[in-house]
Amino acid sequence: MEELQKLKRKELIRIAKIYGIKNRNKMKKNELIRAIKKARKPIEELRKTEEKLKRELSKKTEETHLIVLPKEPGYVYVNWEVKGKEEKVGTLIVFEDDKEKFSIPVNLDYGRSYIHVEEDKKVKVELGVEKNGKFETLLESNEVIVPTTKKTEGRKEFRDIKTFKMRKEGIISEEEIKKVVEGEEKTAKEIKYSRE
Amino acid sequence: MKGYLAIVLHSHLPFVKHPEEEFFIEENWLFEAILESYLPLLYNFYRLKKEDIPFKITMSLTPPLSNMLLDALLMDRFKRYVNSRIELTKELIKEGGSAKENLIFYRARFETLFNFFENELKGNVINGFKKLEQDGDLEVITCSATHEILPLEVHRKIQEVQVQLGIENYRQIFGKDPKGIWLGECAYAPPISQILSKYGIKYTILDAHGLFNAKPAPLYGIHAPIVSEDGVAFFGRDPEASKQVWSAKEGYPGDFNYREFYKDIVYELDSEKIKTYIHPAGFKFDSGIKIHRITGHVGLDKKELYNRNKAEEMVEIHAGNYMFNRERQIEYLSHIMDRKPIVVAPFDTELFGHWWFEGPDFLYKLFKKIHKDSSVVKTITLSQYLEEYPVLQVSSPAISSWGDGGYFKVWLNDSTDWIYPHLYTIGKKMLGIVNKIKNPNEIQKRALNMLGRELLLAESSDWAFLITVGTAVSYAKERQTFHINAFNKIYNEILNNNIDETFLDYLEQRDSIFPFLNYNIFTEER
Repeated sequence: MEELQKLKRKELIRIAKIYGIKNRNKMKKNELIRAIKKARKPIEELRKTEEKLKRELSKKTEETHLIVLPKEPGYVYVNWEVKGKEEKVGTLIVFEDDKEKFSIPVNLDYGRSYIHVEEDKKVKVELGVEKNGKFETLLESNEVIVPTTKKTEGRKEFRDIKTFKMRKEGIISEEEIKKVVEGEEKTAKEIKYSRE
Repeated sequence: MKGYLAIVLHSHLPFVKHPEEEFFIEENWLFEAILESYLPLLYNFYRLKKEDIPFKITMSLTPPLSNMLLDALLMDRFKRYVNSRIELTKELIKEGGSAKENLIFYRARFETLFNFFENELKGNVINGFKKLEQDGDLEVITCSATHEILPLEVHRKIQEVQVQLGIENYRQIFGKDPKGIWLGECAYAPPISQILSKYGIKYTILDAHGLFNAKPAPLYGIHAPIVSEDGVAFFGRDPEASKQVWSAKEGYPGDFNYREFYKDIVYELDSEKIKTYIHPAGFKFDSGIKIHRITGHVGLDKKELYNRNKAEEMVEIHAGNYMFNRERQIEYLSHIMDRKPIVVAPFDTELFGHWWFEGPDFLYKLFKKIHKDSSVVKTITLSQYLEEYPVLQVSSPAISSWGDGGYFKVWLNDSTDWIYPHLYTIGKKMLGIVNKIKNPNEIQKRALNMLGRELLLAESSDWAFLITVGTAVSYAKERQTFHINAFNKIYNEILNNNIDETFLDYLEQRDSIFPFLNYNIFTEER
């Protein structure tokens, strides 16, 4: 409260306004300080709550889940939690374009991993346990497409965005354009993202 | 005229508002951006209009930023911020000394900009955007609700809500639908194109490799937009046009005559003497009064005084050089393409003025030079280009972002990956609870709306970004943690029918983004 004493009456009136203190413009400096202190009490309680809410968070969500996120070419992030199962060990099966590619033994209850996968594939994972020699799927993840740096050639089609009709268009010099693009790709790779 | 230059400025800051504290250092991010970037830019754009110089520019205005610019408490505090700087320069000028000339320059600058803010913009920065938008000089586009990295959002419905709210926020301000959208950090992955199309967005901007690696690779590279199967146009960032301004090494902002960002006068003054201008607890923070020039590769103690005339000479030279390079680029491209090429140069707005002090003057000079001296290049907004060239190559844009590395590692790495399971979980809870609570009473409705705001604020990409780059790390972690916890607290209270109304009141004051938000937006279509 020491800080309030340092403020000018005009500034105290502004603070009083924030707290919705009535008749603030008629109050003397000491009256303003008293009124602000009184109005601040519930705020102090709230700040204790806030203090707790902004500091304590477990890495676990305490909710069963299995998610996959794309990170960069060739890598996805997988995070899971399983509640209410006795088994300690589970198996994570990785699918690329709906085909089972490989599996990894994991802690069943909680885990996170960056997994190397093939670029440009649709990836999803399943988490399950071996039971009586059979695999039992407990969770299926969402599906993501893995980022790629590959180039894809294909049919050049043009469309009018106003009429939605396909149109014939052409370039004058495809070879020249290719050279420009190659140069620009090189420059793009050199750019270091420099925002702070 | 042989081709177009499209300058695109992305204006964004995270939502930071702390009514519970009289002075809150992180609120200065907004005040610095207004005083050092938004006002000087708008001021220069108004100057161009008065001088009858035509110019075209595309600017995003993100919902967190626009909500702050329209917040009465924050704008009240902004006025206090500017006035204290004007007072400080006056005090320092009285003392004289070798820096007097630079201090007089700063005082005049602050007063001019504040006068512009109060009188021309009527105390509302957004009025400047509106006026220029109405006059057709500026095309304002929207952004996803809280600048979320949409490819890292698992729930398709929440990706949609981010886009829908970005559009709704724009409508509330401009009274019409936006044509374009800036995706938070230009982060793209399917099915975003479908979502943009569903909500009527005509175009967005990606980093160069979003087009270079599109399927199929576009004929024109980044010098014409492509269109997805869903009918959304995608423009690509031009690396050459960006590098000259972005690069700390080779870019213009590193010129030794330009103002030094890292040396602020406040750190050289006696705390006792300037106590009324610093945080009441005695912390010093940037005053924005920076009177030295970059000088060279020397320590802060060796920096020489800023020479405004010399800096202005360099601005003239750099604007000329930038135009010359674009002309050469466009001249060449125009001979090998069947249409006028476009060079898209997107930047963070805050680069101009806040980081690169002379940036707003650079743009002013550039537009002026292009108008007066160039027969090769003309400026254009992105939707104007689509009007002129509606026939585009059909191609699916590649997964990409404009962050370091070009993908998502800036926001998803060992120090930030703890965030995403929480976002997934609270997102799932949000989508569930809107169907679970039938006929809510008034307090429950308020709590459900607040739940939506806490979820959206938790989804801001800014917290992960700050953690990764090591800036304001504690604050970023606290904000990320707080929004997740606040969501869970209110969620449990709604389910247990024991809503803490005092806390709800408090959050409504503090996390007051999207006052129009209705929780029903999270209801999934069946």
